[in-house]
Amino acid sequence: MESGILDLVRDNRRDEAMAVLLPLYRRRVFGLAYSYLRNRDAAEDVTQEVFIKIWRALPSYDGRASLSTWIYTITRNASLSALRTQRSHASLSDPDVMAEVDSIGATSAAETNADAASLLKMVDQLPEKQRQVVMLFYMQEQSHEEVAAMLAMPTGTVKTLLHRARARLGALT
Amino acid sequence: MNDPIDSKLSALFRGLDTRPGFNERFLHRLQREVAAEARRTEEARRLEQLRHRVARNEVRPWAQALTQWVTLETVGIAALAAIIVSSAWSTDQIREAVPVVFTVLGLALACAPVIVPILRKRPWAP
Repeated sequence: MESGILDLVRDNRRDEAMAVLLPLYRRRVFGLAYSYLRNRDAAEDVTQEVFIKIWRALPSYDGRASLSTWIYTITRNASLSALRTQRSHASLSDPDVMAEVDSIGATSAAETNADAASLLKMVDQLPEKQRQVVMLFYMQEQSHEEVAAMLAMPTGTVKTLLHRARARLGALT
Repeated sequence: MNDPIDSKLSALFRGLDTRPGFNERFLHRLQREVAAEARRTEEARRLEQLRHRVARNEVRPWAQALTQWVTLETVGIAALAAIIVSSAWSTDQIREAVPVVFTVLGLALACAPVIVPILRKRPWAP
């Protein structure tokens, strides 16, 4: 898949390369941005911005780093930049939690909505790295390796952070 | 992954995705970006051409600019002026005028480095 995208870029077919990249990476880029920003609208803005940056930089992408590594690096930098420009540090208040639970489509049953909201609030209170690992790992039943690649950290660290987060959340629930 | 907390977290984040219509919104923004980039590129190209022209004019030696004045028309006008002067004035008058002519030519040459760039910039032009 990656070599196919590279071929399209080399053939100066940037738009076609984007048409392949967008569905392939949209959710992962959004998830990574969301794990930093904890706000759906801000994460969507960053996701758009990331794909615009990818579109601009594709002609200079030389394939030295893997495509996913390159895209995740752009996403992390854009998310951190957006985070710096946010006036207050993002944190979910009670109404925000309910809104986020609704918006991420976690569950449709009304009786479990409150549980989901309280769980999301607990996740929000985890230390930053633990929170990011939890969000990304459970977003798509991703592998430890994939989460490690997204956050640019060793796989062992991801496993440790996930273990600690689970223990903490288990104790709270 | 059999822990109840696993299934709860999975249920919570499994559906995390962009809102419907994200791709269309993105493509719309991309089109705007492409148009804006094309405008910026065109503007940059125009400015660069202008800078290049100004810089080329500034670095051109004044002597080279002066040679542009030596054309068939200017040589013809000079020859015509010489004929008129020689026919209208006597030899003595011409002999007396020679130092003046050379002085005027010398002054013109001395002033050329100042005058030529001013003429080239044509500040009176719109």
